[in-house]
Amino acid sequence: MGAVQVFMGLYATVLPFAVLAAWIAVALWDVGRRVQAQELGRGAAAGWAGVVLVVPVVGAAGYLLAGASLPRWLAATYVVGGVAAWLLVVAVASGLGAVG
Amino acid sequence: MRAASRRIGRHGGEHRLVLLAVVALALLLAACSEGDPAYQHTVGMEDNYFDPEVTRIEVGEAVRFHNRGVVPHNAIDVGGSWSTGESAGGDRADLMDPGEEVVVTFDEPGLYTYYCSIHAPDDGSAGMAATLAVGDVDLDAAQAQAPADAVTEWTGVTRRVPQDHPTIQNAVDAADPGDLVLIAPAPETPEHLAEDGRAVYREQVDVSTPYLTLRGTDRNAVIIDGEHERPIGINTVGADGVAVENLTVRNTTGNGIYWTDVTGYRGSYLTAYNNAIYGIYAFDSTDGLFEHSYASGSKDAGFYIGQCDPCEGVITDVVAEHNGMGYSGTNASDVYLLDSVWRHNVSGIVPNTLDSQRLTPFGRVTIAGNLIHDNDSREAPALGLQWSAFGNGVLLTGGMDTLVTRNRILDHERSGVTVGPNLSRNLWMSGGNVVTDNVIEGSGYADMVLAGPALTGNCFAGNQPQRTVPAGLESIAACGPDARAGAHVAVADPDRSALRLPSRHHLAPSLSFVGLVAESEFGLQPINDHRDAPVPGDQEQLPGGAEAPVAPAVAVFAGIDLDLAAIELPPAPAASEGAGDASSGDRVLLIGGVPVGIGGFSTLFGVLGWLAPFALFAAWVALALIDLARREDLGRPAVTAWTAGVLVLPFIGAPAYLLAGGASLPRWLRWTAVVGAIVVLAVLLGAAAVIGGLV
Repeated sequence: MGAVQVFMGLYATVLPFAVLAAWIAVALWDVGRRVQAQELGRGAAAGWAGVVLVVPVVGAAGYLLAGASLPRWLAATYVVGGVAAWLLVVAVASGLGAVG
Repeated sequence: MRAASRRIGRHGGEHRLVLLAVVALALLLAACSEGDPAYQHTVGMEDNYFDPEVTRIEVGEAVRFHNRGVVPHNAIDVGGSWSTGESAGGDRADLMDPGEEVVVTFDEPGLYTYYCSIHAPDDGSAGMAATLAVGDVDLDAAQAQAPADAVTEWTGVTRRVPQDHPTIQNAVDAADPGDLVLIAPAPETPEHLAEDGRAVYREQVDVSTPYLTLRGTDRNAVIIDGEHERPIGINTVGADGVAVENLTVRNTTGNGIYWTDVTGYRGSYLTAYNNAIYGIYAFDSTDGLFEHSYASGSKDAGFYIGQCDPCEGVITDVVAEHNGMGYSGTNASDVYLLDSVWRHNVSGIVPNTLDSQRLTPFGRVTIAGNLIHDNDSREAPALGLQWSAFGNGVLLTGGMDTLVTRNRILDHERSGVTVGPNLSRNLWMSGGNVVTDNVIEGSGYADMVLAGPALTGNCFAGNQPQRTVPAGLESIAACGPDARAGAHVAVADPDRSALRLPSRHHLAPSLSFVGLVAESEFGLQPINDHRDAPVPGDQEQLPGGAEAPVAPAVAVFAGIDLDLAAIELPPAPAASEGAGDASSGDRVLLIGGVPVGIGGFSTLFGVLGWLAPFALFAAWVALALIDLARREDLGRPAVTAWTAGVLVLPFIGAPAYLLAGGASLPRWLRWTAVVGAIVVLAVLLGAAAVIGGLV
């Protein structure tokens, strides 16, 4: 296995976790923005933050798709695009013999 | 710090001292300049061979001998005219430690055959031997010897020690292929009396006659003692078919019982203890068996099979304890470790791949039916390299297609089974290894670990672990119908899940190993003298004793009934066998796979080498996506394109956007988050490596 395969295998490994971290960050940033804009009360914000942080994967993705103030197309780009990007990377890595 | 002394010497000529001074001056000047001196000829001393095997130089030129292995070596001329030891100002057979160099200058033309005194016979006919041609000489003069015909049966001749021959060596030298050398306990004379009151043979036995059987009449009373002065107890080099039975070897400075460069070997009912490096050891040899034997108190491994492919070697019904490793097998493929006990070593079973030996990588090892427990000893002797394997029951480093099945693996401070890479001169990753149907309990770090980077095909099933790294290993790296493993065993199971996610291996445990290397280099490794290891009690005798059938070690592997399907999970050890010491079984806290509380360097390298870079990368991606969400100057297509770039371009997409994508964040913040963070991380990692003695 060459360096390219190792590189792609490593990226296929870390990408989903990085995407999840980004979802959480974007979601929390959006919650904070909505509090500042007085669109959310502190109780609701704390509730959403809890859902985002505590419910694995689905919490952050669900908030972005269903609760965020982001344009719907952007939220879909982040969530669906994140999953699609991971699958694409996995496909490329598999083609290189880096995962399996 | 690893020893890296530079010693010089020269050979031949009348102006020895003058030239010594010249060479010394040259070396001093070279040492004062940057980099290594540019010797035209270097002979690498690997484990255990010289590289290259043939060197040609001109009269007056120098050769630098460099020990690039992990065990001591030397180079000695068969004709006696030079040696690295003498050239360095010492004795003829003085050894060079790993990393050491000795320079020898040759003023006389000639064809020199040279050898390593602990890895070859003194005629240089086999093992670790090589040729040096100085000047215009005929290399064809070094002629290969024709192999002897195999002797498959006992000749009927028994050579008795001490009745017929005063020493074992005397009997061996007198014997013909196929003879039995039968050794009774040493006579109770002052010359045989050891400090512990037992009568022992104080000799190194060099065997160069093939197809001999060396047998003690009493395993516990026939003792060969190296007295911490002689390197090997029984040293079989290049002699095929030698069997050693029913005796004890102890207190050598190297190996207890050793075969190298042979086809056919067998060690039965042997005891090897407190031998400095290896207990019972076969190197560069095929077709062999170690059975019903015991090894303890060796700093490298109790049992070792190395540099062979296929080895066709079997180790069964043995006990290894209080060693650096119970079993080590460097670049050894087609080896079977069966129905044995491995306990209280620094680490248990460690097949491994190293560039210091030939035939990389190892593969097709079968580990089945063993009881492996409490291999996290801080009291056992161990070399520095061995410490990096601390606390693991089975550790497969950089190998292929190995099967670990139906073993009981209990109470290890680190892991029950780890499959991972090994960084030698190359990075060797593991692939195609199968871990099934073991009982693994009481592991501090994790019961099973797949350390990355890893190749494809590693799978885990039927072990019911309580904790794995990465989590859910049996679910995400299951053994499906396509599972492949060591020879002779079908592991494919259509009833098992075939789910295999790509995100399987974990980098944190690999960095934990780096932390253990740093611990050793930093001086945190416990220093235990092999001479202080426990003395074993009496061991089981060879059935039949002196009257047992005599059989030279011919076609050994073919004669073994390898019914692996019949091998069963061994019972749990009794409390009297020391199972479950105080340090084992306590779950350590894991943060992102990084262990907290089992060694500061392991945590440090896990944080700096894995957690921090991962967190940094995740932060870049998050920053980039947040910034894209805030930007009002970009249209939907541009945002979508940048999002795709951030996610799909491996590792560089997010930083590229932050630095060059027109992000709305302040410039200082973007550059601090990307470039500044990389620099700080590199500096911290570099400092940790320097403090840990890794660079």
